[in-house]
Amino acid sequence: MLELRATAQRLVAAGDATRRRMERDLHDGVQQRLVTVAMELGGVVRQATAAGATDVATEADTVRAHLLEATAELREMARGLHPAVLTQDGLEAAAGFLADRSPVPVRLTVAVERRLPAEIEATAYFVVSECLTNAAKHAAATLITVEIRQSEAGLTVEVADDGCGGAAKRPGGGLQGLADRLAVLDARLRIDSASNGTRLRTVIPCG
Amino acid sequence: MLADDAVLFREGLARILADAGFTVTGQAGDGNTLLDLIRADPPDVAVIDLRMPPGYAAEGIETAAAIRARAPAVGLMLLSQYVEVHHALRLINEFDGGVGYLLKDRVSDLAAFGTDLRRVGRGDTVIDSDLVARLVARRRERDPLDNLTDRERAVLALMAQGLSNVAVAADLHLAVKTVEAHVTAIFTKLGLIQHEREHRRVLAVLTFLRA
Ligand SMILES: Nc1ncnc2c1ncn2[C@@H]1O[C@H](COP(=O)(O)OP(=O)(O)OP(=O)(O)O)[C@@H](O)[C@H]1O
Ligand SMILES: [Mg+2]
Repeated sequence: MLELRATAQRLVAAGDATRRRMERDLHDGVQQRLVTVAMELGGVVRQATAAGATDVATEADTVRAHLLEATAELREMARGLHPAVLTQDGLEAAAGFLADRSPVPVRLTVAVERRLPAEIEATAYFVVSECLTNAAKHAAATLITVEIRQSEAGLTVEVADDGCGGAAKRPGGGLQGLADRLAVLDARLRIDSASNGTRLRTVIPCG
Repeated sequence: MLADDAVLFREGLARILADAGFTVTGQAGDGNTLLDLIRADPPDVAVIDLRMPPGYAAEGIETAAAIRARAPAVGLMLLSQYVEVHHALRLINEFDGGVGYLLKDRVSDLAAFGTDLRRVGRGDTVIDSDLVARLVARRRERDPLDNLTDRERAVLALMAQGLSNVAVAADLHLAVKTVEAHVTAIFTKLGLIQHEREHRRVLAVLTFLRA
């Protein structure tokens, strides 16, 4: 059993590391190339304007705008892979970012004193991310509360909404994925879902 | 002066800025090299990548702080692939003006980027419009922004980017007096204290939007 768990932990950690590396590669590679090309196009716009070729300038500027849209999409993809803000600035900043992006208002409380192991931070982040997405997608909620709290027992992550309820794990779904990931860290995903809302809670042991 | 570890981007930027009439006095691939260059010959503005070696975290801000401590007159323009609210707040809090924070994408609009560089050089604060739009669009439980008219929201967003009343007026094709009236109405509706200096105003507005 212990051996299996250690293997699973290594697999999750390796997966996280790969995602982090892919984010880094995208950031330093493709994204960097695309903004450089957009910048060069900006130079073309300028030259065309200076030469009085307004049609060309307008055309080039439209191409530039399209290129930047593609860059923005890539940026979001890289963020989904592994948010740079989590590695750099920790859970509070990363959870704040998720809350800012939520289409349903979020009341966020984060009480975490120090940086935690990468796999724990990443797991907590993915719990919040998935639960916010679910609440927006399925719950018809008007408010979501998110609490992330560090104590002796470990890192508690709780996401509650005031929606219609009906949350349950299903094979291949986001919640099942979270539960699997949590199990590796010795944590369980508790789901309380009724007609007055859904509460998801987990405590991740962290020494 | 420019600092970015991405050579292609940095050299492209140098070329384009030169075309646009700026003098690029030096280039560096990391913060320490930039500091040495600036000590030898302080420029009007330093353009700094936020994420640089060795740690690829927020080294750019540390570099900016070191520059401010040694050469306070140098304007600081931070560029990044992502714009994060907490970085913006930190920059406004710690730097008291003469600082900008923009997505790298912005440099492709040379006219606008040139204007922003000059503003930072003059001591203004420049915050990326994307970041401000995100904060303004953010959903809140009881949203005080609901009390603002569409016009007032537009003024608020430009204020949060660091624009002065005159600049807001030009951007929205309004009279300066009209903008001033909007600004007063916004601050009253949101219960904020008005500040004379744009820099203080940006901080007040962003802090409010973040809360
Ligand atoms: N907060 C919630 N409120 C109401 N129903 C929910 C909530 N969260 C999940 N559900 C229900 O539980 C089901 C399973 O959720 P889960 O996240 O596992 O899958 P999914 O969201 O449908 O798909 P995926 O996560 O793969 O995009 C959902 O299809 C939905 O019916
Ligand atoms: Mg889901």
